[in-house]
Amino acid sequence: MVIIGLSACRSVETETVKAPATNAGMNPGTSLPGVVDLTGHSVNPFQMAPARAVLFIFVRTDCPVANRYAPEIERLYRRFAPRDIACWLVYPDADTTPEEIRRHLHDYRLSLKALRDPRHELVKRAGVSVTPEAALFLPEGVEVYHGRIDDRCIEFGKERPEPTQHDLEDALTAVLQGKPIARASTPAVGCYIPELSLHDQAKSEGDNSGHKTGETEPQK
Amino acid sequence: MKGKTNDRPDREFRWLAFVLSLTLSAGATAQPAQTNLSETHAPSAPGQPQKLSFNKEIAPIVFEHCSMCHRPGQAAPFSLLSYTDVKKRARQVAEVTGKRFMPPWLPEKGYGEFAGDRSLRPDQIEAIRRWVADGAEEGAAADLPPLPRWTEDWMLGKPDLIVKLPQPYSLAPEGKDVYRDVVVPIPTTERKIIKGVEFLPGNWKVLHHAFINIDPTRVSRRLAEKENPPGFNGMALPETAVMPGGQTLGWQPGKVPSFSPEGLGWVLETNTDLVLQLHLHPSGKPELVQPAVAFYFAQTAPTNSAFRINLNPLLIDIPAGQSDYVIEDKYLLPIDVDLLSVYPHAHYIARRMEGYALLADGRRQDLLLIKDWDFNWQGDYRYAKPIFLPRGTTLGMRFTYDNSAGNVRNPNHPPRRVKYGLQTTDEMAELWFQVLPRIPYERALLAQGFFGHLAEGTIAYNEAVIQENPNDAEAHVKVGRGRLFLGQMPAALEQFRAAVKTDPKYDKGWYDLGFLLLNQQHFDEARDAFEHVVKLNPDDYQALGNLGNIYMQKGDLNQAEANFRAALRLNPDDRVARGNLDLVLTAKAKAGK
Repeated sequence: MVIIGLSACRSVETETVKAPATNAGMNPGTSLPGVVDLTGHSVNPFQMAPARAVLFIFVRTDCPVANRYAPEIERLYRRFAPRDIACWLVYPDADTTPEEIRRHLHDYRLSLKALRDPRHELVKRAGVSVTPEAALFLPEGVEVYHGRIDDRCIEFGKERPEPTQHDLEDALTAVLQGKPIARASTPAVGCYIPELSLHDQAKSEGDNSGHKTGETEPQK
Repeated sequence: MKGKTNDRPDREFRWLAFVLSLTLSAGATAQPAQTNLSETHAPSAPGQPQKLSFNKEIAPIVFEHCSMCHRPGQAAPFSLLSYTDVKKRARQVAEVTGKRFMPPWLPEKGYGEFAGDRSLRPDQIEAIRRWVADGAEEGAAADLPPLPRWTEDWMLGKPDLIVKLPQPYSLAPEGKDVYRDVVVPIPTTERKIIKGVEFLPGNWKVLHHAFINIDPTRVSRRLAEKENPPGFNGMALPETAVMPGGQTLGWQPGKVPSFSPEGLGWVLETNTDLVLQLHLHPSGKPELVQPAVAFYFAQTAPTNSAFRINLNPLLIDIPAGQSDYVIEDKYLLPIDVDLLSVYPHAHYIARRMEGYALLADGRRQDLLLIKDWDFNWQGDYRYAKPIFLPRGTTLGMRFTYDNSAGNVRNPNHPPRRVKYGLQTTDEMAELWFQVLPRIPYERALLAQGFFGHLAEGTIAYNEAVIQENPNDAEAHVKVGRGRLFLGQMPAALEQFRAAVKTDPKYDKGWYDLGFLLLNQQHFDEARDAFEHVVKLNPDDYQALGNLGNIYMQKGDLNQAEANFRAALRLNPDDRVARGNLDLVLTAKAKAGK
């Protein structure tokens, strides 16, 4: 697997990205063999049904910060999925089982499709480091936003009563309107996505040995 | 024949009704032995610091300070019980300990030594940082200490009585934090002495903190029935729901309950309601919350009881944008006391909190310092050893508020002028000192003196309110009550008259006017005032009781009986009306003979 142009995606905060941008060299066909749905089928979210943009929101089942955002994530999904934004929840923890994820989706009333990313292929491609953190790509594979959902959390354990900036929603709206995204990268606050240990890598290899390809299963 | 008069405590004066029931929470909790890490920091060879391992240096810190909450079924969202657990979150652990967000503990070290201090010493924080920076290695299995053993159920042992919310409260998945007050009758058939109370949240994930109050009247229950059974919302409790004498009954994650020392139990009367104030934090999914409180009975009657000196200056008026607004209050102790615990309280924009004692010789003793107040982690703190404060010591508090846009916790965007109030967008400034009189009977002196201090504060605050709005009938009543407590009867009467003149529909104004007139034996005027109350609020059983009292004084036993019976129909537990009715019936029986 070759990951190209990652650093180009990580715009500095003051930089604006015109969307849609030209393909900056990221090949949407880049293989993501470790990214699987809850049945273990390999999925390439960039090669699914045509969409105007692809949104990933990285979460964990046991991250209280991400969990508190569940209603907001669902709200964004319901608002933007009908407008041709492909929305995915990504669980990067190799130890979290599909069954735990199904229970999490059910408990937190999340109706987005879920992916497991035990090898952190999407984590690396998106350049995210915590949960919850969002990454927004154009269909061509160019990342146009990554960072927080909004600015409610200032640092771990310190939060505003209400957000004052809705960064992800603004980015999604800008992409749909073909306008520049004011801040292409924002600092996200939440639970760190741990770097993969040898144990995790071995585990995820084991998980995906002889992986199948095909469509994702419907979540609901 | 003379009957008793119904009293109605105000929020500032709610202690009046409870002056005699009291105690303290105490009972030493054993402090686990602390490992001094400074030695392990010594480099093993010049220029080559020894690498720390989880099993040897980190596990003892984690097991002692983190695992109690970070284990299955407890408040924390994930477990920290093994190398794998901690390694997986090593970066997070280093960050949150480095910022002192975890373990949650607000007081600064060196400004009062507290029992159950969960905070880490600087060398422990540095050890975690170094361990993570060096690759977070596991180390030799032989070095791993055993996990502590925790009680899975009630930490104080098998309770004598458990009072549980009958139906769980359903918390919505999102939105602002919720303040929910629930009312549950305490099913006791006789008076009990309580030596310990333990709280189980019933949902660790969403309960941030809780306060345990007792209401010997039916006021909280009625409010709950009216508003949103079995409770009501908001931070404002009825005046009758109080922490029983001298107690600070709070719960927050990680707090270890303890028994009162022998002879310092508090009295729980029959027919009282438990009023739990819950601060709930939506989790992202619907949650059910069903807390329970365990009571532990003592066999011995109290020989002494604690007193709470609640410094709570009310004159708070913080201009929008000001980042260093200071509120202070002081109180001169009239008797010798031992300071047992302290509880600070403010809302979101308070930053720095200082509590201190100025000794008679001019020395200052620090009793509490919080540098970065966080409403979400508020709690009460019990001193490791009681602190003796001789009479003539001044207890003081100094809180600083940041009402600028730069304060991320400011609930107002843009900032607005903030004044005293019970809503989270208002502010408060409270520092409660729980003290035990050295000589038990001197407690009354302390109470008299301190309530006078509170009365003066109430008057000053409400006079400022009246200055801004001369038509604030409630403020007139409060000034009147303060004057009444200070024995300034003509001034009190003037305020109560001003209240009903300002707002003739304000039943509380009429009640207090009637109460003062009754005490001055102006029975006709008092009757007129209480009749106004009953007309405006037919449920006011105390006004009916006082009408009965007036008729009793005037010798009209039939009218007196009718009014006492009416009061008891509304509140069968009104002990004053019950006693007075008995007097009337006895008198009627005698007259009949």
